[in-house]
Amino acid sequence: MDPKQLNYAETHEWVFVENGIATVGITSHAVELLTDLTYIELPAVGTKVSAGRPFGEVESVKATSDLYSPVDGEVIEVNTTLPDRLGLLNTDPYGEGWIIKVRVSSEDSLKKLMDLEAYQQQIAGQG
Amino acid sequence: MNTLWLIDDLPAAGAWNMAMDQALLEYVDEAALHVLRFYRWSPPTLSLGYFQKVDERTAHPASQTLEIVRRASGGGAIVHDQELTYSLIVPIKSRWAESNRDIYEIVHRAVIDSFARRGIVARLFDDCSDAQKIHVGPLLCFQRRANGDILIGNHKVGGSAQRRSRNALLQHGSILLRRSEFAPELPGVHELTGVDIDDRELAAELSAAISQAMRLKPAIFDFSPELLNLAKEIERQRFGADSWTNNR
Repeated sequence: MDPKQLNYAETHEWVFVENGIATVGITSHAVELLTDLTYIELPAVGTKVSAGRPFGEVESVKATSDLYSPVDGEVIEVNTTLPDRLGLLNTDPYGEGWIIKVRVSSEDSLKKLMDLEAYQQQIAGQG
Repeated sequence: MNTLWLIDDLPAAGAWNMAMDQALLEYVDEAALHVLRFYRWSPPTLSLGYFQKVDERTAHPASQTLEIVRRASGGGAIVHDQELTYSLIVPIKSRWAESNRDIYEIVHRAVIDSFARRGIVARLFDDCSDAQKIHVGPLLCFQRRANGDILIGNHKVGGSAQRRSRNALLQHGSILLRRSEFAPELPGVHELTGVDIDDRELAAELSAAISQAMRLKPAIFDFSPELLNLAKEIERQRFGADSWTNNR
């Protein structure tokens, strides 16, 4: 997926919305921050998620971190290959490294998301 | 110049120690402060990494009698006994939270420099190429190896782990000063070098070195009643609760 087509949460998740379905992953910057990933804990299909609330957790050699949902809705699909192929988050974070798909229940939850330019400015600001 | 707020705590139980780290993480989240805390454990305690299963402790008979607490950070289990423990909490917007490696290196290099002043040669481990192997490694953190660990010879004497929240980064870690009877397979600095390090002296030296490396002005932190109440609540609801300890 082209990063320019995506929207971003300040907590470093990306989201692509099509026909009311949001595909969610974490950005290459987030993967870089976490360093070597060792474990990911994913939600079950059917889990209700809320924008800004944790939906899973990821562990690296050094750090544990929550994964935050960028949207309100219900998880309809989970990338079950990820726990055994965490390298996908490094090699293809915007493609095969997607994490969950959510049926969006509230369009309002999309309003706080950033485009690529704003997200890059946020990262630069944190530096 | 911004401030590095310093705490040198008295020995406390595991649930309280972890609750105070979490309270500071949430406090820093609100107040955008940099805080460095040193602490000790009484009674000696086995802490589990966030994702470790509680049943795994049966693999380590020497620590079976110890109380346990589940950390908010990942990694392997630690026998907290003859060690100095620290936590460093920085706001996510601080330049020091930009990379996980930066504060890791700052703290561990400060430890190595402090050892060097006592004639102890220690180094950072840098030979780990397969992160996956670490997660399925031995129960005890100090039997695992990750890049950046502090080694004397081939023995690990210092390691750290981190927890990122939305607005702050917590790093805590242990420096193994002496062998514990509850983890007899792990020699500490004393057994490896013959040098006995006073933990309060070490904490003072590290406070100075870390504040200098982070270019922050050191100052003593005063606990507010609000922070203490927050820690008590977190201890009750999470780190002191069986539902948290046994949730995996």
